[in-house]
This record gives sequence, C-alpha cells and structure tokens, in this order.
Amino acid sequence: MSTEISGAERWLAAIVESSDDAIIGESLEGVVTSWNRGAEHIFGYSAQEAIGRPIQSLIWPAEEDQKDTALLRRVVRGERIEHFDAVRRHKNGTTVLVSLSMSPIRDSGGRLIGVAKIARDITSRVALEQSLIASSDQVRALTDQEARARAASLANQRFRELIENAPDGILQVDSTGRIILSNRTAETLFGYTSDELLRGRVDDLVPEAHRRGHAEHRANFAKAGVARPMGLGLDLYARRKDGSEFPVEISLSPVKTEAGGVHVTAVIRDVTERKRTEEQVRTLQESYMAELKARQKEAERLNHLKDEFLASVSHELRTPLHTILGFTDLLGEELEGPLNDTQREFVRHIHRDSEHLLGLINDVLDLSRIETGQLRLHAESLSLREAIFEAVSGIKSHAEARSVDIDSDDPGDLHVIADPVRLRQILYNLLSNAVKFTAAGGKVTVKVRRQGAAVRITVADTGIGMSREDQAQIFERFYQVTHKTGGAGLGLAICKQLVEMQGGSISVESELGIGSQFHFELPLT
Amino acid sequence: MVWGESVDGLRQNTNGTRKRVLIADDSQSSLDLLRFILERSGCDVIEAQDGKQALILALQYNPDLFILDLNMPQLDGYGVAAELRKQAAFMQTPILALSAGITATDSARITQAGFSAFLSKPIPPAALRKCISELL
Repeated sequence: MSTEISGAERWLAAIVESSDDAIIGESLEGVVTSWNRGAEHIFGYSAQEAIGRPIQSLIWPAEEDQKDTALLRRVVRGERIEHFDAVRRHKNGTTVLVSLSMSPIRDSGGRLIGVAKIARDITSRVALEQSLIASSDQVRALTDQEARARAASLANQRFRELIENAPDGILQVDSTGRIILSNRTAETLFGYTSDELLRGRVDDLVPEAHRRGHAEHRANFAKAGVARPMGLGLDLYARRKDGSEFPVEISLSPVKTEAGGVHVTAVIRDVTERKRTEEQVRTLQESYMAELKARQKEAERLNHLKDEFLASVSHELRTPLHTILGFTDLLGEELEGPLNDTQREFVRHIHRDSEHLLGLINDVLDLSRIETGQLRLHAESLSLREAIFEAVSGIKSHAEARSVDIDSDDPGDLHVIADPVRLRQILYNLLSNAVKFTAAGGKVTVKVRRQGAAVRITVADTGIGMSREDQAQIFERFYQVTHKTGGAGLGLAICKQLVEMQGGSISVESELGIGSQFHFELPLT
Repeated sequence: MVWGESVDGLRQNTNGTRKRVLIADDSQSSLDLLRFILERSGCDVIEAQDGKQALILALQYNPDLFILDLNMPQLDGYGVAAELRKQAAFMQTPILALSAGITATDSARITQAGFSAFLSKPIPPAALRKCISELL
C-alpha cells in the first residue's frame, strides 16, 4: 500500500483526530482497528493500548449487555444505528455513559469489513441532567417544604390566636400541677401575666379552702383518663391574683404525652354573670311563690269570712222568724183567749207568709253555699221508702187543703246513696211545686224506676204544665214561669245542684195543660 | 198548723211540786216564747241568756229539765250539756236541744254530747209540749 495519503484522506484523518467524540473502528470480530484521540480521552486507553484488542474487553462493562450484542448484529447485517445510549467502562474502572452511533464499513467492493462507532460522552450530560433533576426536585422539595412550613406556621399562628383569644381561659397542667400552657383570657380571668402563670402552679388558682383536695382530684382525674365536661352542677370557685374568688365552670380533658404521662387541659369559664342572673331568677321565683301563697291565704281567709258571714246571717235572719211562727202558733191555739174568724184569718196569713219568708231565706242561703262550694253533703245509704214516705207526709196536709191527691210507688227495699236532709229537701221541693201548680181534683204521683246501678224517681202531676221554652230554663236560678205564686225561683235551681252534687241528673217533661214530670236519678247503694 | 189542740201539760209531778225547767237561749224573743209555752203547761221557768249563766243557775235551782239552744256565743249548748253530764246531780236529768237547721252530723254530735232529745226550729208549740211530757 502506498504511503501516499490523499489530501482528502488526510483531511478526514484530521477531522477524526480532532473530534471530541470517540471514533472507533472495529473489525467484524470486534477488534479495534482505529482509536482516535477522543476515544483515548473518553475511555482512558491510548491508541497503542486499544488497537488490536477486542473492544469488549476494553470498554464493555462487566456484565454483558444483551442490547449491545443485538445491536451489533444488526450493524453487521448492514444496518446503521444512531444515538443509542449505552454504559461503557473507562480504563480506570469508572462508568462512562455514551451515546453511540454505529455504521458499517464497506470496502470498495461494498463488502462489510468492519464497524465504525462514534461514541459521545454523555456522562456529564446525564450527570448534569440528573443533577438538574435532583436540584429541581430539591428545589421543588424545598419549595414544598417551605410552603408547608409556611402553611404550618400560619396554621400554628392562627391556632395560637384562637387559643389566646378564646372566650374561656385555657390552661394546660402537667402531672405535678405546674402550668405549662395558658392563654390571654386566663391571664385576664386570674389577673396574672402569662409569665407568672407559666411559672406558677394550678393549685394557686384554687381557693385556699379547696386546695388540699385539689391535688387529689387532679391525680384521680389523670388516672381516670376521661374528659369531664362543664355543667356537671359542681359549685366551683377560682382564686385571682389579688385573692378575690369568683365562680367558675371547668371542663377538663386529659392529654397523653409522648413520655407516657398525662397532662390536663382545663377550660375555665367565669360564670359570675350567669350565677347572678340565676340568683335573680331564683329570687323572682321565690317572691312570686310568696305572693301566690299570700294570695291563696287571703282567698282562704275571705272564704272563711264569707262562711262565717253566711252562718251568722242565716242565724240572725231565721231566729226572729222562728219566734214569729211560734207566737203565731200560740195565738192560733187560742189558749190565751178565743179568736173571731177574721182574727183567725189574720193569724193564718201571718203564719203562711212567715213560713214563706223562712223558706226564701233558707233557699238563698242554700244556693249561695252551694255555689261557693261550702255546702257539705253527708252521703249515707238511705231507705228510699222512708225518704218518700217522710216527704209525702210533709206535703200531705197541704195537698189535702188544695184537694190534690198524692200517691206514691212503693220502692221496696231499695236504698240510695244520698244526704238524708238534702234528699228530703229535693223531694219536698218537687212535691210542693207539683201541688202548687195542680188544680183541685188533680193528682201528684211519686214513681220509682230502677235503672241499672241507679234509680230514677219521678214526681208527676196533672197540673198546668209548661211550655218548651219554660222547660229549657226551669232549672235556672230565679227563673219563674209565673211570679204570681210567690217564691224566689230558687227551689229547682237548688234541686239541680243538690242532685248533681250527689252524682245524679235532673230533667223535666211537660205538656201545657196536661201536666209535668220531674225526673231525677240517684245511685243505688 | 194545728188549731185548738188540748194542752198536754204536766201541772204536777207525783208528790205535787211543779216541775222546774231551765231554758237557755241568746235570743230574748225565743226565751219569751218558750216561757209562755212552759208556764202554760204548769212549769216553773228559769231563764239563762248564755251557757255560763245556765250552769250557775243550774247549780242554784236544780232544774228537772234543761232546754238548751245549741247556738249560743262563748259556751254553746254542747258545752253546757257536757258540763252538766259531768255533775252527779245532773247526770240523769233530761236535756233537750233546740236548733235551727240540724244536719245528719249534728244529730250524731247531739247524742254524743249527752242530750236526751232534740227539736228543729221553728218548733210548733204542740210538738214541744209532747216532747217535754215524754222527757219529764
């Protein structure tokens, strides 16, 4: 071969030599045929050391890379590989990262005679990339961290402010009773600065009287480990720096520390205002109760007075009438001397009207006593037969004088639960009305019907009867169908009250011109 | 009202002396009425205006019959009866109670207090005479 190298070849050689990249020629067997300065630099072997040696032993890493082998085969087949990243080894053992391009070398006949490889050292590039990534990661991490730190600090600050300005005082106490945390409200409540609080013990804030028990309570609480809320109804007091005491509500919660101990967080509320209001309410209530009691007493007193008044009035009104009647009777007996017909007539009038007046007084008194709830009934088991007999006997002479016939059912052995005096009063009242409103030749009957657990007594007459309108109002106080027959219209009202007080009911059936029937019920014994 | 009923009085007891009746009522009018009826029946009448006076006069006159109004101020009929029954002299003496408006409870109380009988005012004179003749 002529040593004459053409100018072009020399130029090419110069380019190859001056390239920073490693330009390596290899035989098909992988033996190095050319090794440029770039290769010397990148891989550390000199041209003398490299040429003639198998490339694998030189720069390939310890473990065979399958990819490389596969690629090489492709090049051998005539392919061109460009920019393929690979790991190679420097002479001194360090790892070199390269970007490889491989192309086949052909002779003038086009026959593959070798492989030309260009390797660019990308170690530093990769390193740079990695360091960039790392540092950008770092930066990101740093920014993240910073952001988190800032957020944390912000949250912390807000949290702190929250605690500081909470409406209630907040203290945290360690297991020895020393205050390890306090807020502004606590300072205001107790009159200490935060320094003073943090230097002090929680027992100082407890009134002296309760100090002894307090330490024990704290220990018990810490042991129990369960939060204790406010409003348990305990009467607690706290002590200010100046010694004054104020009422408080305290809620406690335990906080486990990392060291395994227990701290206690206490939230303290000044309830002076609330207590004052409660006290006011209580005082108000008490005064209302007292007022109520006083009024009740007054009402009772007035009732009692009324009672006494009625009793004395009745006595005062009736006493003279008794004697009037008595003397009238005596006159009528003619024991002190005979009377002429006119005089007898006078005496009769006086007697009748006096009796009438007495009846009115009794009615008025009865009704007012019933209405003020002062009439007392004494219920007994009474023989109905006897009661009816008595009432009928009482009215008999009067009825005979008016030529009205009276008849009555025999109730047999029936007994009712009633007040004897009042039952007599009711029967007498009804009978006297019946006789009063029945013309001569008429008839009054007392009927008895059993109805389950009660008995219905009817006083029927063949008298003048009354209209529907009158029937509806007949039991009302002062109501009178006619005012001609005298009376005050109280009799039936009293009957109604008396019957109802004994658990019964009263009613009327009537037809004008035919007659009336008054019914009332009483419970059987 | 009854007319011309014969007087059922006791003019004399077995050995001929007139019966002595002590009457007590705070109403003078009532006392007058009783006096008329009793004297007509041949009894001697001692009047008392109240319970205390009744007891004093009782000891003084030793009556054969007491007629007491239940409703008197200070010491009422019940009180007088109770006191009388404590005394040996009057343990057996008949005592009649007079009152307006006697209720069922009252009648029980009357018997318990030691009264021998009672009458409700207004009392027809005939009824009073009948009662007295039964008691004496």
